[in-house]
Amino acid sequence: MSTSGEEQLEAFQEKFGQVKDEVSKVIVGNSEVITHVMTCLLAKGHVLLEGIPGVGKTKIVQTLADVLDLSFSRIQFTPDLMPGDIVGTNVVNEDEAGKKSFEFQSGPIFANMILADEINRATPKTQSALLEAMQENSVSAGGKTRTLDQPVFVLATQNPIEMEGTYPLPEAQMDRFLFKLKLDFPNASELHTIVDRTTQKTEPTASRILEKVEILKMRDVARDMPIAKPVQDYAVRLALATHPENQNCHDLVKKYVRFGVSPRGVQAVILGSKVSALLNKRSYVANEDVRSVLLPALRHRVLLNFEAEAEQLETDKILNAIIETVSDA
Amino acid sequence: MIENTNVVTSCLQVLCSRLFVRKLLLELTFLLGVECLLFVSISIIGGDNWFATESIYFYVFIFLTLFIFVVGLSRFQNTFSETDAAILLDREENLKDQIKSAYWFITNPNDSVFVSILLKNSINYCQKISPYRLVQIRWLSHFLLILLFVFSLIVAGTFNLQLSTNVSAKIFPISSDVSINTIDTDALEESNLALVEIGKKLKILEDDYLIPEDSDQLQKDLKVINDSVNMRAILARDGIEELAKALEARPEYEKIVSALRSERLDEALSMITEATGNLDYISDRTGSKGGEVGSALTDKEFLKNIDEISSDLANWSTTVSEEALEQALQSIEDAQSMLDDQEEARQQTNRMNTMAAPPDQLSPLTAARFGDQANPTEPQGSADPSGSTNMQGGTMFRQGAVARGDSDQDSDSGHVAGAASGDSEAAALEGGVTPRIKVNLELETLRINDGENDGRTDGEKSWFYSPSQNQEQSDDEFTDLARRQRYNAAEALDQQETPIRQRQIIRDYFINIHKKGEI
Repeated sequence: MSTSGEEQLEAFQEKFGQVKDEVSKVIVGNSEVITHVMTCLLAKGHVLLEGIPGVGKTKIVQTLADVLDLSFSRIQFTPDLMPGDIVGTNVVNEDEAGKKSFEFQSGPIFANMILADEINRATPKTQSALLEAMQENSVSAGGKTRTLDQPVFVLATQNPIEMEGTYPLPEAQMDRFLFKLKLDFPNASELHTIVDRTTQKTEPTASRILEKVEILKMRDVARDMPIAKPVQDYAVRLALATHPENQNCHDLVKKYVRFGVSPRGVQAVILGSKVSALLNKRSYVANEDVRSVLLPALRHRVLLNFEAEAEQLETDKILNAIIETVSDA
Repeated sequence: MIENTNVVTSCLQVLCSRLFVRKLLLELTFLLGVECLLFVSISIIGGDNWFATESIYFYVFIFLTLFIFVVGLSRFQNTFSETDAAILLDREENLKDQIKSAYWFITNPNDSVFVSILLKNSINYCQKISPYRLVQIRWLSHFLLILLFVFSLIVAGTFNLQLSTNVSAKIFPISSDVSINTIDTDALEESNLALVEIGKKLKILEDDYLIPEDSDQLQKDLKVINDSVNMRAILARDGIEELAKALEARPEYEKIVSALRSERLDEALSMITEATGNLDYISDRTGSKGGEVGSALTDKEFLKNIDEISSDLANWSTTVSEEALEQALQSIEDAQSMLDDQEEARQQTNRMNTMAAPPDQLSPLTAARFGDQANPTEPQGSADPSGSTNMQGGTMFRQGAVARGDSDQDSDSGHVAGAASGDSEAAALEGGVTPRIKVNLELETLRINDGENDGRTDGEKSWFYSPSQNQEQSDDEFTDLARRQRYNAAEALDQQETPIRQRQIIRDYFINIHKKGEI
């Protein structure tokens, strides 16, 4: 990739567009979800996909794994899944001389793309096995810490309806995800297209577009995107507006929010905004970019109180109210 | 890095200055409009005289004007910055925070390759745009509006000043009604005429029964006239004092100054005339003095004359200016006329008060309000020969005095107003010597102490109280006093000058103090 800014911009947009087009060959609709998933990948984050069964959560991840030249592993989370099943264990290995020694058998977490399917079905202990890998990109097992190969991209899915026998993700675990994306049910035309594509003799497949090196370079480009202080201030003000202890916060926040977003939430907003700016062919981050990623970046970080749960209030409504309230000047 | 970043900053600075000017014009126009509205509102609420220091509305207006001024100042504390201009530019041109970010990276350099792209694009854009188009200032409309508001304020202010008495109120700290009368020459002339009319009415009322409604109206008229003439009297005294000050520098006019300051104006006039040797002026003045009720000279003219004369007199060098002296004479005569008016009004007021109210109910402030020397509550030796009386009031006073057991000394010295009102009517009717109230009191006291009734025909016991120690002393005088009194009563009723309608009142009066059938 060229060192010129304009060339970097063009290359970034071109590659991104190619990946998106390739994924769209398999995945019908959900364009915004695909964009946000790619944003998470390029912003060095992880994504939590939430949706009812059958809307294509796992399919999106699998397709993306096909498009990207990355190692992929899938972990099906079940209640009896153990942390060792994820990170790996030391096994006894006997050599030809009969000498026995421990050898680390790496788990499925040692991959570039990890699909944690139905993550809320495993116990919190097992869910926490992902924490270190997601935050520090390393795994500690058998007394040794092993660094994971970059990039590390965890994509977790969960079903919001079937909650019986599940373990909702702890707040600390939720906070590790850069974005939480919701997959909506497809509309009629999309449904027709899905049926047409998947009920024929051959299903469409995606070809590999993006190499690992290119992904890493695109990550660097995204990090190099400048953000002016006034825009950053806007993101900070938005984050602060989610705190009920803030005197100038919205009435909905005062009434329904138990805890506002963490500093990690502001980081997520800024990183997502930078990728969004690149995708919008801008050489700077605008307030519009901040707004575009605010919901996926913060919706799982705002903790609602019992009253909001009772009224089945969603955080998106509160965040939209905050966007309308906070001035972008 | 891009070097021509000053294109962006200069563009933003121009925008800033234009934004400031536009805001200034808008605020100024708005505040002027508010001020105009306030002025008109207070003018409507406060009436004609609100623009005077006595009016609460004047202070409300001053307070609100200061408040508007402070608000206007506070609104300009936060002036426009370049960032504000950049935000405006982004918003107007839908640039999505480009100029704002560019300005930030101009002031805070960044090594990112994207910053150079941003600055380059921003510079190109700023070279193309026109700040004059972005921030349009409607000079003409603002100018016309400001002009209109200022003009309205001037017109309204001038109109209010004409109506108000601000100037005179500052000179004389009196009520606005009085100051209005002071300025208005026509009103003065009318007051003088009204004074004559009131004098005539009082004359008529003295000979007739006083109707309360007439009394109230006359009192109101007299109050207005009093205020007016008293104001002019103050003015006259000020003028006299000014003349005295102008003359006091010269020892040869020491007597004239003394006469002026003690208000012996006739004497002062004579001395000045002698000093000038203009004897003709004395004769002219004496001849023309009789018929004048008051001068039609306005206060402004009077003060102007006084100022001119004072400066002329003060500028005497070696020779005496006859013209200045004649002017001084004229001014003193004017002042004299003003003081005469005051005296006239005061006399009419005294007459009115004596007729309209029981003597002991007269307020000491009524006559002494403007420095009158005579206090109506002070004892007077005898009744007023002119005879403004109230027989009912006198009777009431007398009965009260007997009930209180006042001695002869008391009736000699105290409550003389009551005595006058009781006796002077009879004296006027008789045309003879006025009998003293003492006589009546003694007569009543003796009769009551002798067990006779007080003229009541209902058989009830008299309520009079009489000290027993006076009973024996008065026995010898009873016969003479009763005879005299009977004679007086019959004499009064037989007088042809006594109005027929008043005769019943006089009869009742004497019945109250004599046995029925004696008259």
